[in-house]
Amino acid sequence: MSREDNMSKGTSSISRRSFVKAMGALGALAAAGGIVSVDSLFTGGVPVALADSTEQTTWGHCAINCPGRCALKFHVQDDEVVWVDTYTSSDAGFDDPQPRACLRGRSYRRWLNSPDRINYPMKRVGNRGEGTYERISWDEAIETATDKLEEVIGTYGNEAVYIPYATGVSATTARPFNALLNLIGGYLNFYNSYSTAQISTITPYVYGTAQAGGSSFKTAEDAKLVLVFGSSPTETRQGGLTTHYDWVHLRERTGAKIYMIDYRMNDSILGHSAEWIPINPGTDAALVAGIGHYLIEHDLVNLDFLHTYCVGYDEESMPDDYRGKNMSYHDYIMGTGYDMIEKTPDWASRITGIPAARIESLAEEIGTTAPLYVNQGWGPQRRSNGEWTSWSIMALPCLVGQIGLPGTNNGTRENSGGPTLSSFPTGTNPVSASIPCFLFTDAIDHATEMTSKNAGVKGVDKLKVGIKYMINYAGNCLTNQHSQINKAHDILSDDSKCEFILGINTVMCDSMKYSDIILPDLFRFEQVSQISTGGDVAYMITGQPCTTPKFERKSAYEMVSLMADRLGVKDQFTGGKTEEDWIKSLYENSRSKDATLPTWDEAVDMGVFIQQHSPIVSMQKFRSDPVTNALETTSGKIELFSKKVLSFTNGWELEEGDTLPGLSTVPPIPAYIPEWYGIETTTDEYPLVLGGFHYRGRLHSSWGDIAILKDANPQEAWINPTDATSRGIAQGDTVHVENEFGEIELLAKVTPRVVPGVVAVSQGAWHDADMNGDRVDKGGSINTLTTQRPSPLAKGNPQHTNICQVTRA
Amino acid sequence: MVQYAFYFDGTRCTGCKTCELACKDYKDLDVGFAYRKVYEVTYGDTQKDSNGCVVSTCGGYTVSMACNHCYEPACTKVCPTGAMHKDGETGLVSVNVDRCVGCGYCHMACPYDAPKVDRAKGHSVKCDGCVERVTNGEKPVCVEACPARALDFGTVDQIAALGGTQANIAPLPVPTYTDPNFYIKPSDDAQPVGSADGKAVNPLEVL
Amino acid sequence: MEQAMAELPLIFFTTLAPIGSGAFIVFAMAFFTMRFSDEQMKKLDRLTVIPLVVLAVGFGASFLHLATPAHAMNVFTNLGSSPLSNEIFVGVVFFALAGIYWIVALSGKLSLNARKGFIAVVAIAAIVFSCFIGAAYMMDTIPSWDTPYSILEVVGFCLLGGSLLGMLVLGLAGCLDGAQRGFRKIVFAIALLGTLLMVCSLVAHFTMVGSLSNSLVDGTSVTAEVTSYLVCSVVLAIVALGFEGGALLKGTSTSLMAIGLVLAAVAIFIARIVFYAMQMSVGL
Repeated sequence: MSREDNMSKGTSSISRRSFVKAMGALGALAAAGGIVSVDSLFTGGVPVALADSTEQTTWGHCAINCPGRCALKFHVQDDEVVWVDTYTSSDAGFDDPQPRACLRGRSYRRWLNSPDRINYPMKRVGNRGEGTYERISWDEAIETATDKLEEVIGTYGNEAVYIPYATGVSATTARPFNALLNLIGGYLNFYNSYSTAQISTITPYVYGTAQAGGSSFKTAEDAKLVLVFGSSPTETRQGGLTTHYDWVHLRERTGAKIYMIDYRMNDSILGHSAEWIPINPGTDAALVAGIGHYLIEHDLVNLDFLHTYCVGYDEESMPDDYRGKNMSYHDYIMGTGYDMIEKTPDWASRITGIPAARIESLAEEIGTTAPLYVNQGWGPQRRSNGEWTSWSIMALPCLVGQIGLPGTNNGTRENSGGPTLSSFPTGTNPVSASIPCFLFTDAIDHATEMTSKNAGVKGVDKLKVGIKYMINYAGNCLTNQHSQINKAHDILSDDSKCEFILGINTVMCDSMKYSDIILPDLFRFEQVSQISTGGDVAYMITGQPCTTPKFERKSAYEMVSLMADRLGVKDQFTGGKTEEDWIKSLYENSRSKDATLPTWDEAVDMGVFIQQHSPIVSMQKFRSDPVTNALETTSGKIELFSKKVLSFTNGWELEEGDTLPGLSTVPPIPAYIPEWYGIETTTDEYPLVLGGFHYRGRLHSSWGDIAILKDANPQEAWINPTDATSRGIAQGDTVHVENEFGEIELLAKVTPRVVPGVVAVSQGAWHDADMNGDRVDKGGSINTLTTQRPSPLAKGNPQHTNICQVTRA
Repeated sequence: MVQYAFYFDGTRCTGCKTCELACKDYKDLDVGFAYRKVYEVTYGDTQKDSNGCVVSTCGGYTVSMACNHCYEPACTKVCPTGAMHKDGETGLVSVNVDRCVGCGYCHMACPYDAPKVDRAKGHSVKCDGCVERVTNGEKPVCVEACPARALDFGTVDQIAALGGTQANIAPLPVPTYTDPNFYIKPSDDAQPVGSADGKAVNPLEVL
Repeated sequence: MEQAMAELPLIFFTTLAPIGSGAFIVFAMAFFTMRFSDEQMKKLDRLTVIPLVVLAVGFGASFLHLATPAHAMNVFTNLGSSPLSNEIFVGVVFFALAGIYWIVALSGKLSLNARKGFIAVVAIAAIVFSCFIGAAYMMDTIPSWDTPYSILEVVGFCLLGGSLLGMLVLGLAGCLDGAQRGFRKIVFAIALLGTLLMVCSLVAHFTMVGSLSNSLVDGTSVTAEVTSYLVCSVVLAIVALGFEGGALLKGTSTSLMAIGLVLAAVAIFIARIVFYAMQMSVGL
């Protein structure tokens, strides 16, 4: 079926509104092939001739790295998007599920026509990182990219080829480059993500994998007490039917008391400040230990649960070969093991900044209130001690046996997920070597020094060769979303290290400036695309192209087909199918497993398919029968002490501060380890702690260049009035935040919504520095200030572990 | 004649600004113009006590507000040309762009900062209640956009019946000036009109 | 302050209109207290174009304030209810009166008595116009402007600035040679009254704004921003009065009056900056 045929399906004509959008003019000019200034057109007049033409609508989905995957309803006129609506209706009640797009989704028209949008294939004509490019033909671009790929593989082998972590595109057919590389010998794998490295690494040790998922938010409607650690559900996942809506809905529907433990009074707390328990960042593990101490002292721990379902709580529940060594979590808490410090509420108070009496009253509530729903975001784990912070928060509901029962959660993040859809098969990677995604710059710079013992290399003991060729598809993780941008720049700008970078994107973000060849991508809503997601409710979106492709932009599938053709593997790559054929056949495969899914044609017509399901209670099966439904941990039980952590990290080369004093491995229990750059390790030079957070104006760095979003959501450093006053800083002042890794410039938000001693800077702002000059980042990207040192076990990005100084500019 | 009104549920609003940006897309507004704005109020202290512990009295909330299509609009009273007018059928206040001289008096007078002169367009601009949508049976774009379902729109009788009270929390002025058709369900943190704790703390985002 | 600078055209208008119109008050005083030769009268009538030009430039500036001046004819729609309609109407009436007076006077068909009657009407209209300029800003939703000070300040500008401009024109027309003490006293009294009105109203207004507060800003931070401007304006106004006094003592010094006029105009201009910077809504 041709694109035109599809354009006519799933679309509907509606009568033209009484006024017309200026963007119609852009269409006319763009169609004529001219390059036009978007700015001038946004304020320009309306061509009268367009006033009578009809508007059509198409469905599409957001494809950025947010589980929202919102429904986008494009209103299109003369092949130009005139405005972007969502799945909504005037009569929707509070309980009616509608995956409504967030402010960013509603601003897609500005991104579609952004001055930063890439229109043609380009080749680099300046130095790496300078961002100077020259338009070339598709033939030249594909020829250069594939010739260099063959050269690198021929010279260094497939382990020298890498696809860095990227978050710009999610869809069922979003990984064509991986498929291509697997057909020609493979590429260096990565594991982890920048989102969840620490918690994803530790959770299998604690809960295994299959049953480890969290409960739905809706489950907490039955709870009496809800504890949320380091999460702002409304900011992190703003749109769609995910945590924004689910959280607001839960708060109104539950009878539970809610506490949100965070160093910021985040937006999810707004209006309900009684819920806020301010805490020093990176100290959640100490809080849990202090609560644990109170629970133990007051006989409020659920020993039956701990002895039946858990390993390692106390001597009785330790693995046989570790008895008599004072290595249980109980020993840690009561000061009879490890550092021999009793983790009293007083002790915890000094670290967390939460008054001891508050810790005790909170512990009393936790010990006497059921059901208890404990939830954590991914902020607490994105730290140098994140593996143990997230483990501690999981340990809390274990201590009181509030797991696997109605109204409870296992201390992980709330459940999310949509109808199960099959994805484009990427084949099998013949290369077994794998690196933590966070260490890719190390693997460019000094790969042969990286081993399984010092850098988390998996599949092989050590790397043979550095990364020489990268395909950066829809990613801004080379610099902006990676860490220590100045160091990343130095590594990437040296083209003798990584010899070639192929960049594919819709816009010229900072990472794209390191590309040798750039290919202009289409949005997923400029092509046929399908995706599923969900929170309390699951849904699927089936999208059609909102307009024809503009300029010389192509879909990734088309680009890969062209590359595959030159590499002689086109037929293997495409299987004789177009991308749309693939999406349809993948969908038919999905339907064969889920009879509730509509037919393809129905899916196209409805655009949004919503699938209600019962609230999920995490680990319910395990709770009901822990023998039959044993976990995939070493013991089959919940592990509050992990033998496997000890054995896996035995012989590892650890750095100062990576573990507890006296241990040669990382801690096998959910202990508190002070952060390397944290509340206990500030210096005279850098006396403030610095953390990041998700900001409503961007999703990571996506939309970071959209003027109307920047206008409504200025880039600010949150600073407590106590810290601001002593530095002569007033609300709205321009300030510099600096540490040993760099310096950023942004505005001060002087607010009691952040605890004293802590500065909060939203992550994802577009890096904007003269890299040949002072390197002061006037965009205010926090990753100018984050370290490339990986967390001890996961080798993940500890991007909230920073110290800094703030000065008035 | 009917009179329409907006409703704002402060217990649900999370300050995400989807309302504001959805409106900006639909109405094609550029930087510097917003028909709906989101005000942040924050008050109290978060300090360290003598033990180094964090003690907070901090509270905060957001208010999303557009034109309140008042019964006694300040903007129409001062308008010299009659361009700013209250529709006899719907009670919606809007600008007759063929009459507006762009003097800016409506902008000065409105205590809710709703109208603003767009010099490029040559006239005052403001929320018109998405009148074409409303007459088509839909609700204004902002209302249908809200992911948290914090906004509503309807006849003033319908809206008043939702349980809120008439525009009486900070940072709004007392409703007696213009008799606004805006009803609010306040959050726990909401401060009364005129409270010293009711300052809008995000001027950069709303001016 | 940013807000004030955005109103630059209005700052010019509200500076120039009171000065230009105020000159006619001095003309009236001159006609009522002195006799001029035909020669002097002719010269004065020719030079009466100066205050009219000042006025016209002021009106021109006010047009620049409008986003669509082409729609300016609509501004009388809400005459009676919109303070702006009223202001513009009174302004146009004044301009028409002053213009007709000038044309008729130039034609030489104005008897002395008729001239006295006409100029008295124009002079009174000048005061009324100034009152309406000030009243245009009195809205209950802007408490920082909703005060009689808004009017009294403009009347002060009219009397101080107008007296200097009027005296300068009279001087240029050679109408001040041997001017009577009585006339000089009256003119100085007008200028003194103007200065007092301007200075006292400004200071009182400033103090009043300092006690206000709304959800966005405290009056004290508003007044803190304009304090130095206020001081400048007050000092310049007093110095301008001094120059006028000096000129009146000597009787004929047009140069002193010119300097005084410039100083007064600058003082009034700065006073208007202060005024617009002190806009504080009752709400947002």
